Amino acid sequence: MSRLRMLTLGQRALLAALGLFVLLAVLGPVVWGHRATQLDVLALDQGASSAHPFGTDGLGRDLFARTMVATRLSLVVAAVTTLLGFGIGVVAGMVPLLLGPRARRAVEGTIGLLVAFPSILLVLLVVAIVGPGVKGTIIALGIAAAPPAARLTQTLAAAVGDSDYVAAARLVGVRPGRLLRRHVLPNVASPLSLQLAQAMSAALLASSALSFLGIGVQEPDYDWGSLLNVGLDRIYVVPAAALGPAAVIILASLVLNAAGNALAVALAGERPAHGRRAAGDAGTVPVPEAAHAVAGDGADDAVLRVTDVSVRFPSAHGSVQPVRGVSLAVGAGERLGIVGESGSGKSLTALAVAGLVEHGTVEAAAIEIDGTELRTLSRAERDRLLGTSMAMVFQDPLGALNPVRRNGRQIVEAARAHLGMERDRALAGAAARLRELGISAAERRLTQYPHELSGGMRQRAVLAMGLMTEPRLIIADEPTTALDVTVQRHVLAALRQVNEEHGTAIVLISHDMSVIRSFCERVLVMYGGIVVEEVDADRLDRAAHPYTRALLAAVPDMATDRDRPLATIPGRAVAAEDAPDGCPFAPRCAYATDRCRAERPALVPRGTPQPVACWHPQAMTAELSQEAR
Amino acid sequence: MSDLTIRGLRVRVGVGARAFDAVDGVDLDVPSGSVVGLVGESGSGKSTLARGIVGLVPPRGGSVLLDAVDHARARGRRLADLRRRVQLVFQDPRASLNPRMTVGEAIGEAVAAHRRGSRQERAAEVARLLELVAVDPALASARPARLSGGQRQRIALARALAVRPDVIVADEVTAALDVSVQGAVLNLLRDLRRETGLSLVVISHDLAIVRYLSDSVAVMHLGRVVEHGTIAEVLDAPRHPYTRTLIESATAAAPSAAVPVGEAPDPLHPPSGCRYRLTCPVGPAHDAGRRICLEADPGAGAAERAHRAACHFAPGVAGG
Repeated sequence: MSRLRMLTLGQRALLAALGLFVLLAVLGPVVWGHRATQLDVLALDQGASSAHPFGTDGLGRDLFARTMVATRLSLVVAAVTTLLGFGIGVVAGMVPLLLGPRARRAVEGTIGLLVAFPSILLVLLVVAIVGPGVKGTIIALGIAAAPPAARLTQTLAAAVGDSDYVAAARLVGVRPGRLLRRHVLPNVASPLSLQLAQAMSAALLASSALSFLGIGVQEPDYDWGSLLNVGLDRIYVVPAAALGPAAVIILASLVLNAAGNALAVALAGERPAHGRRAAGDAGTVPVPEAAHAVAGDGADDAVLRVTDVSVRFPSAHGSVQPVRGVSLAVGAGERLGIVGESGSGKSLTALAVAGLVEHGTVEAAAIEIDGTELRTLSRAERDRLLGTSMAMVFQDPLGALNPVRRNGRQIVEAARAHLGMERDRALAGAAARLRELGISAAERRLTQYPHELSGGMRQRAVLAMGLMTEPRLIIADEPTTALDVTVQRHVLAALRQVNEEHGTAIVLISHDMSVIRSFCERVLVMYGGIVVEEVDADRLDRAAHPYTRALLAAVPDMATDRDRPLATIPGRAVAAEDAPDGCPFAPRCAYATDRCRAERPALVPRGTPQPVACWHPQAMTAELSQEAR
Repeated sequence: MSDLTIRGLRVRVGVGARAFDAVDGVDLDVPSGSVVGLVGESGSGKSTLARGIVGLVPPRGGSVLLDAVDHARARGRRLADLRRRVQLVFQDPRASLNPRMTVGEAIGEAVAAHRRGSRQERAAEVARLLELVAVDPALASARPARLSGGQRQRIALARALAVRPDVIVADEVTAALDVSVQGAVLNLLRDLRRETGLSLVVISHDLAIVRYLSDSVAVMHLGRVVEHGTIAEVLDAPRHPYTRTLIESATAAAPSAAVPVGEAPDPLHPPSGCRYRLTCPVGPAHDAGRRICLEADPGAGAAERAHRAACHFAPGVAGG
């Protein structure tokens, strides 16, 4: 029942209301059954009174009691109708998965046709054939509810049927019946069950409507709809006789609908949260003072200087801090690499610098661009400084380009907005930029739309866009990850050229050590939200941090010895909320001691030429190439 | 164990006007117990070829021969036999494991699909398989959500091994994993091959991974194999310009100046003659005299050239 505890007060009230209706359905006829059928010739067609809150009918029967008693039939009809409809629908919707392509299309087409057929006509048709009454209502509404349920099941099942795990199960020889039972049904069940509550609410309204029209439940049976029918004749004389059943119908259908949603929330909460443990207060561990030491050459000409930046997000367990006290400086014209696995905080650090972190809070001692502290500026000044002195290139160039605007317009946008450049001059400049970056027929490209460019060209177009304002810094976040290796080279070459010809500093963020190593001069290695090592690219083979060394050895390159196993790192990359108090790498590190687990090492030189955040730096012991390969 | 031989395989993807042969006449030899690497960039048809080999998509033409028995267009029992003997491990283990089944259920289901046995026997076999892929057998009761990416990929491998296949096709099995666990999965593939004598088809966009694991390599470009030879031959003396470009990209640092690129070919309307000619560094885009690239398909005479290179200007002849 722990799931129930996760519900809000309102959701619990709804479930309670639902329980009340169920209770009423069970107990109603027992409690009010006698009064509901008791004729009273002295009280025919009476108005509302304390004895008869909804008045009485033409035979003197108490309408309130009848409304309470009718709860059972109304809800049972709705429930049975829904189950019948879903039963037919789910079977019909799953069948296509077992069929060949042609038969599948035929079944799918039939379902589509039935969905399009007006359900009111279907209902009237079936009622006319079966005849009015409880049975007729259930059969008619059940059949009418089947096509939408079949369509929904078919859509959900098709998605599951296309999944890799169903393909894998087919390959190992799992038989069709089991495939449906064990793989498809459980994975479509929870979205279907949400639909069930809604369908039941609709069935309640529909069956009430049929009874109200006189072609549903027939005397001597009665449900809310037929009570409404009786009451409506006298609505101006005794409003309560009609409004009472009407209110109950509306209330019941609302409760069914909303309780269905509440259950959906409860069921969704059941889904495992990717195996992450409760975060505890790991996110609030104070970073040792010395860790604030700036990773960087400390040169005064830094185009970007960031001190002790942290990013915090609210979470189910308080808050998580995926970036915890990162400091860095980028010198003018420098090529700096930030390397790390997913979850290391490398991209978030860049977003924090650019003021692009959404839904989270960024804390920092200083964020300076060209020596100007960003947070002392007004919003407009800051946007202008960021817009002109810094450009960002992201992994997915298509996401950075508006698909319905021509490339040229987009490339010149920043230059026109921030520098007030004329349109023609800006477009000419854009064409020159594209040519510089190796794109042929540049003028034609400017009049094309983003989808008309190849992936490599798009990424260069984004780069050209960033270059229009002649920034002093480009932050490129996984700019080549979505590209093919041959194209990747070209984009890196373009970045290199910008760096060499314009003296633009470049921060390259990547998970790919070989890209970082070939492109950058200096490398920051991130793990678990902190910088664990700063090292020159040509010294990477003599890196001091065990993580850096393991990362280099775990991935084969074109010189790896084929006869020896690759070095491995046990365990999994740490998630921000799970990062331990001490060194984040300690749980996976072969050299870890109690000190590593208790105390976070600061990023300082430790008998090493460059800073390393490790209590047991490895540089002096052996060269990586000899040790790991 | 058996030899897998693929001849002229064609697999069509897409529907209506956007349908095309993503695999367009591929020959591939996977001798028993060997590891063949399949390298190519996105859109080259590697994954479609993998699905065609294991019979997940029906081929449009050609043959998939397992010990000289043609399984292409197999139905019923023959298809079931092909499926058992040639297993596919998918790229993303998050997608290839049913989130609602435990590890033990997923592997046990595969064990039970081909062998009768008691519940205890099945549980013992699941434990043996988990140990084979170096996963703690106690995790048999865990659901995939509790496991790391590397562990999940091992489970997917164990499920494939459960049916005792002759060949495993590993489609980019490390691409969705974190860098720090990739090495362990590659090591596992390498060990499995040694311990079980399996044949492996290792598909990757990363030439370094293919080089590390494979005995021979096939280079794919736009639905065709353009070069096929032993790792040493192909990497030391590539005959196809595309292979050379791939090797340069994998080894050399980025070129220091921006390199102009031509238009990438459209798979729906592949260029006439050689499909690589639009971006070929030695083709007609750079040497207008090389008209033959526009006119003749270099795949026609590939069998006579060294490494079966599909290039009119590939140096050397077969065996030379």
